Parts: sequence; structure tokens; C-alpha cells
Amino acid sequence: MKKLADILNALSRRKDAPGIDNTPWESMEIGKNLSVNVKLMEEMFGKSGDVIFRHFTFGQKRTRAVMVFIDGLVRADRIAPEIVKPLMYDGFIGDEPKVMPRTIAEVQSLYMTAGESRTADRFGMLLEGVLIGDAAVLIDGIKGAMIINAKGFPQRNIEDPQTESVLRGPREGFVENMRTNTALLRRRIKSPFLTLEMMTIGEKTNTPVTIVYLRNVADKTLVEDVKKRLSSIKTDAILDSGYVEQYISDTGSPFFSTMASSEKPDAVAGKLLEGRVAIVVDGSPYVLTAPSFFAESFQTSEDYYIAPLFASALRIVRFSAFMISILALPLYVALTTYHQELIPTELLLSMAAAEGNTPFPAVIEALIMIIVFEILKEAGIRLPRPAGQAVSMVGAIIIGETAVSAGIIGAPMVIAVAITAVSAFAAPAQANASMILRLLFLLLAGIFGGLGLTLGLLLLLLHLGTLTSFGVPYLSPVVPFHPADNKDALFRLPLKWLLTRPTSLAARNPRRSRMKP
Amino acid sequence: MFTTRQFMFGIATFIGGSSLFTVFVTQITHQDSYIAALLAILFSLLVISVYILLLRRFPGFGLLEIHKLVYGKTAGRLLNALYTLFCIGFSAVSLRNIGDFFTGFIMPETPMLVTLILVAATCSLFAKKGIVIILRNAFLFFVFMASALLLNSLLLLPNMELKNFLPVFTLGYDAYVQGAFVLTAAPLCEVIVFLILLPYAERDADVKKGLLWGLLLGGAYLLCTFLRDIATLGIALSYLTEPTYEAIRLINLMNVFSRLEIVFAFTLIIMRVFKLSVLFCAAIRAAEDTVGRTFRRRGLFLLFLSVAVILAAMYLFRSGLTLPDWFRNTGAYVFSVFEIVFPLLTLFLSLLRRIKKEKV
Repeated sequence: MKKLADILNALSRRKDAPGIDNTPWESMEIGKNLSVNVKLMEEMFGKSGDVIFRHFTFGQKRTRAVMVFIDGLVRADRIAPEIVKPLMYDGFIGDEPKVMPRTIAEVQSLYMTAGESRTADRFGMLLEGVLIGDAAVLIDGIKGAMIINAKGFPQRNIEDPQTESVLRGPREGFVENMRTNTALLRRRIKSPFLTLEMMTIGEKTNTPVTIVYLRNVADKTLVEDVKKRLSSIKTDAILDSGYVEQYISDTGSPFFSTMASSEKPDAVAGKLLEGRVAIVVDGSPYVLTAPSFFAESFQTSEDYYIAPLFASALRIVRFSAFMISILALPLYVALTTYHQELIPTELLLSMAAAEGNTPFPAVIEALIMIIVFEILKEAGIRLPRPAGQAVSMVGAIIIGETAVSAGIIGAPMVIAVAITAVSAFAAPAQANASMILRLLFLLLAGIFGGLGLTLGLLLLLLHLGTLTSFGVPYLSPVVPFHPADNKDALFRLPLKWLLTRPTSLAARNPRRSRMKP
Repeated sequence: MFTTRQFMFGIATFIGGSSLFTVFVTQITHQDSYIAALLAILFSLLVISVYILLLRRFPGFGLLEIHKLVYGKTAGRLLNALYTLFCIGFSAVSLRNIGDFFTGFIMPETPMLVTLILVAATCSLFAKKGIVIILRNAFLFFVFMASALLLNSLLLLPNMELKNFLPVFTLGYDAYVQGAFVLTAAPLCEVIVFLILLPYAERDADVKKGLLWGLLLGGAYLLCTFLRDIATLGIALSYLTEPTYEAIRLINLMNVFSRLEIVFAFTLIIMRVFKLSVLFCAAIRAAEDTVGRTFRRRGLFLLFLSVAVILAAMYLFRSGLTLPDWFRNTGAYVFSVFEIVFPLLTLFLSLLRRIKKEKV
């Protein structure tokens, strides 16, 4: 009892210590004394009502045992037939075994029927298992514990992805359960080379994270780099893949994300086959892939399921939409403020008639419109769907009709803002970047006209040119120029011609098809 | 580190960035300017062969390092200091040229100083990122530049006439030689600044090949510019201060696609920023070599450099109208000392003193 008191004292002292990593039980061995173990666990879990300690005895000697699990994280229908019944009844029907098990491994091999079980010799492993939905069994007189997979918590069904709808192609989307997501990937790539490496990140949330890659395709240094960056995350919480993305992305850009994310298993599988690495985070329906290039923002998985001509045309449309979304409004301001001579005369006259009576200069008008649009967009997204539609409707009427008829905003400006807004949605991967860039270019155009806009574009190119994603230039394969990789960048050539993987990703195993073009 | 291909496109874009300099020649050789351009390409090939011979003797070395080997450390550094001034001088000419163009044609109400500051600041930011990043983008710049030339040439087809090339060879041979010499001095042999930046080339990069093909590509671009302008404007181009701009001004497609000269102006800005950024990078390297240390605060040096270039651009030339005249009669000769005389002298001395990289 003195020993127990010492340990409990040590625990309570450590609990008060500052810092997020003071978990004393992690390295503590699970001893033979069941009472001590139970007491320790009760101390560790506090008074959590959902942690169940199911005490039972088995064998003629009435050996004491306890099963620990968290209600709601395990499947109740698996607890009794797969864990309790084999121990209490099946193993002891008839005579008492001559040799009683002395280790957890012996208990596992003699009595357990559960599909997946493992041993834990320290409390850290036990806690990790229980917290992710496994059941732990401790037996009096035997060192260690048995961790049995009994996970079963409510989860969303596999549905159409919300942000990547397609007209043609698979309609499955990732869900919040990591194991379901990795299974979705396994279903697409039935190769023994598909490797899944698990790790846990977040010292409070203990979020399971899986690194997925094709062992014979992905660059080893890339895989090591991803692992190293993930291991370097020292934080208390990882609640979504967005956290991981921000921690491990290459630094350098306030506008562009140098990691891609997708809700679609077929899109991620395609990227894995090109030599990229995927990161699946438990609790997030968005799977990250790295490295990611700028050109990827204008590609969808559907591009590979339709004729190459249409796929290429759609990619160009998306790229043009991105350019329009950042440049249309600044260009309009530059033209109407500084370079009116560029506008055809008839158009200039009708624009002058529409804009003539408005009180603000074009740049101020544009700023007002952009801010109002962003407010409406945000309100429309966050509100419940019926209310969101109402807000959009009210906004459209007020801006489209009343502001123009009241002479506050010119009608051409409304058209320019509308074109900008619609274009931004055509390239959703860069929607956030386009919002900020549009604002910056607008200020440049408003102050310096076309010269400011041109120099701004040059600086954007310089910025993009300096970015890297896990060591690979972000503008690949255009800058630096890789002719072979451009077969599937802004254009998509016929699949028969796509014989190689991107050189910057899978130089080790570049060939992907043995067909002759 | 940059590759052979990046080096080649970098040189071609660098030359293309000087397409406004055509006026330096059209006022001498009129509708025969394309002949001067052809001669200039031939002259430049001769000069480039001197560069290539130098690089063969000192493989893996840049111009600044070669100077120190051939002339000794002190004299070499002195020469490198002169090359720093050369880069600053050329930057000033290029900046003034674009400033005059913008103030004269595009934004007459905006003071030239604003244009100069904006362009110089952008170039400084490029130069701060370094030559490797700049040349990595060279292909994109080249595609942009070539597409613009192709597009406006196609749109100008209805305005082109073969008779605009006539009469041929009516000028004295000295006019052709002078025109070719001016074009050789700027922009064709300006590519000597790339020799300063050679230490940033990849170890296996074939810089000699890149230099040669880059010059030919850039030369071809200039030649096409001359041909388009002459075919469109004829003899009139010799009276205009900006023939290319005036030629593109004639584009009118169904009364919708007109006034495209402003698009050309912005294309020109993009190419000129590329050129000035390379010149800034070369100036930094030459200055670093002169003082014998690497600038830790490169941004601060670039600030000084930009101010120096802007001041030189503003006050060294009385007016934009006199710039072509000054360049034809003075500038081309001064710059050719750095582009032709010094490299030739260095080669000659290295041959005479039998200095080679192996011996070093």
C-alpha cells in the first residue's frame, strides 16, 4: 500500500506541473497487482462518467480481471461475445486447464477470439488504445494488459463530396473516420506497395494520422521529409487536417497553400500513383497530398474521365476564371481611371453615361462592392441554407437594383463585380488567394493604373516562382520548365500519351504505362 | 543554380527586353534597318566567339574571376569596379528609356520619377531573390514576349506591304556599319553581363551553347521586330521616336481590337523589368567582388543601387529625345569598350601570358 501511495503522490505532484507533456503514466509499467492498476487508472481518467470499469472473475480460482473501455467509442455488441464470454466461459468449459496462463500473450493465444488484439506493457499504450476506442483487459497476477480492437462509434455515411461535385466519375467522398478513409484508398489501389504508416499527433487530442504512399513510386526523401515534418509538430491539439497543413507546409506564402487537399478518394489515389504522399488525419474528411503545384489548382479528377480536348478546355477555363477573378475588377478600374482611350468609343460613351452621376471614384466604388460581396458570401455560407438563400437574394436586389438606381454605384461596376465573383467560384482551390490578390491589385490599379497592375503581376510571378512545396518548385512543370510533365498540367493529353509520371515527383520510377502512344 | 536552357532563354529575353532600342538604329538605316540587324548579329557572333574562347580557357569561371586571374588581384578588382559602373550605366540608360516612353506615350500626367521608382523597386525585389530565381522564370518571359510579337504581327498583316522595304541599299556602307555597331553594343553584346553571373550556373551546364543559342534567339526576335515595323511603316519609321509603338498603334480589328499599343507598352515593361533585374544582379556581384566581401544586407545595397540608377537616369540625360543621339555618338562606343575591347584584351593577355585554368 505504501508503494501505491507513493505512486499516487507522484502522480498528483506531476499533474500540477506546468506544460502540456507531463504525462507520467506514459512510461509507467503495468504491474501484476490489479488493485493498484485499477486505482491508477481511476486516477488517470478522473471521474469521467463514460469510462467503464467492468470487473469480473474467471476460472475455478476466481481470478480477478477488469475490462476498461469508453462507452460510445466501442461496439457494445462485440464486448460480450468477443472478450468477456471467451474468458469467463468458453476457455473453462469442463475441467480447469492444467497450466494456468502466466502472461498476457498466453491469454491471447488460449482464449481470445477477437480479430485484432495486442499487448501493452505500459500505461501509455493502454491509455492510447482505450482513448481511440479499444477495450483493455487487465488480469490480477499477470503483468501488462491486453488491448482488443472493439471500435465502433457513430460516423457519417460515405456521401457525395460537398466541395468537389462531379458530373462523371466516382461519387464517394472521404468521411471523418480515418480507417474508413484509408480503406477507401486501399479499395482503389490494390497493391502491396501501398504503404500506410501511422502516428499520433497532438498531446491532448492524440489524433491518429496516417501517411500513405506507394513504396515503389514515391521518392524516399520526400516520404522521410513528410515524416520528419509530422514528427516535429509539438502541439496539444490536431482537430482537422487544416492544422497539419499549416504546421508542415513550406513557409513563404501568405496567399497560396503549398499542400493540396481533397475529399475524393479517386483524386487522392491518382496523386499517390504519381508519386505524391497523402496524409489522412482522423476527424477530417479532407486528405492532404504533397507536394502540390500551382497547376493542380485547376485540375479535377473528372479531367481524366472525359475526352482530353474537353479536359484541356475546362482547365483553361478554370485558369482563365482565376485570372479574371483577380484582374477583371482592377483592370476595369485602371481602364476607366487612367486608360480610357483603350475602351472602344461606343462602349466608353455608354459607360460614361452609367458612371457619370456616381459620387465615388471607380476604385472606391470597387472597394465598397468587394466588401459588400464578401460579407454577403460569408453570410450565405454560414447561415442555415434557407436563410442563406434569403440573404443572397436580398443582397442581390439591394446591390443589383437599388444601389444602381440610387446612383451610388454604376451599373458597369456591378457587372465587373459579378464577373469577378462568378469567376472566383470556378477555381475554388484558389478562392482564398484570389480574394486577397484582387484587393491588392485593385489598390495598385487605383493608384498607379496599368503600370501598377503590370508590376503587381510581375511581383506575383516572382512570388510564385520562389515558392516550393516539399522542396519542389510550386510552379512546376512550367517554372522550371519540364517539357514532358507539361503533357498533364494546363493541358491534358490523351491517356495513351501519358506514359511517365511527373519527373519532379517520381524520378525513381518514372514509367507508368507500357503502351505505345 | 541555373541550367543551360534557362541561361539560353534568359539571354534571349534580355535581348528582347531592349526592343525599344530599335530607334537607335532606324534613324540611321531607315527601311534598311533589317540589314543592319543581320550585320549586327554577325558582328555579335564574332564577339561572342571571343567570350567562348575565354570561357574555354577558364571553364567554370565567371568574367570577374577571369579578370583577377589575368590582370592580377588589384588590377582585376579595379576592372571589376568599372564593370559595376557599366552595369549601373546600362541600367540607367534602360530605365530612362522606359521612363521617357511611359511619360511620353502612356501616362503623360504621371511624373517620370514615379515610373522610375516603381520599375526600379520591382527590379530590386527581383534582384533580391537572385539570378537563379529570375532565370528560372526566363522561359515564361520568353514565351510571353514571343507570343506578343506573333500576335501583333498577325494583327498587323493587313497593314504590311512589301513595297515598304524599297528602295534597298540606297545608303552608304558607313550607315549600315554604324547601325550594326550600335545594335551590337546594345542590346546584342550587352549579354556580357551574363558572364559575370556564370558562377551560378549548374556544374554540367553548357554555358557556351546557351550563350550562342540565346544570342541567336534574341537576335532573331530583334530581326522580326525590325521586319514587322518596316513592313508596316516603311520609310516613315525613320522619323518616328518609337516605331514599334507607332506600328502597333495601327492595329484595328473590326473597330474592337484597336489601341493595342498600350498592351505592347505593358509587355515592354515586363521584358524591361527582366532585363534590369539581370543588370542589378550583375551589379551586385561586380560590387561584391570589388569590395571583396559578400553583402549580408543585400536589400540595403539594392536600395543604394536603385537610388543611384534612378538619379543617373533622371539627371545624366537632359531629355529623352537626345538619348538616341547620345547613344549613337557616345554611349555605344563607351559600352563597346566593356563588351568588346576588354574581353579581347583579356583573351589576348591570357594567351600571351599562357594563363589557363589548369595552371591556376
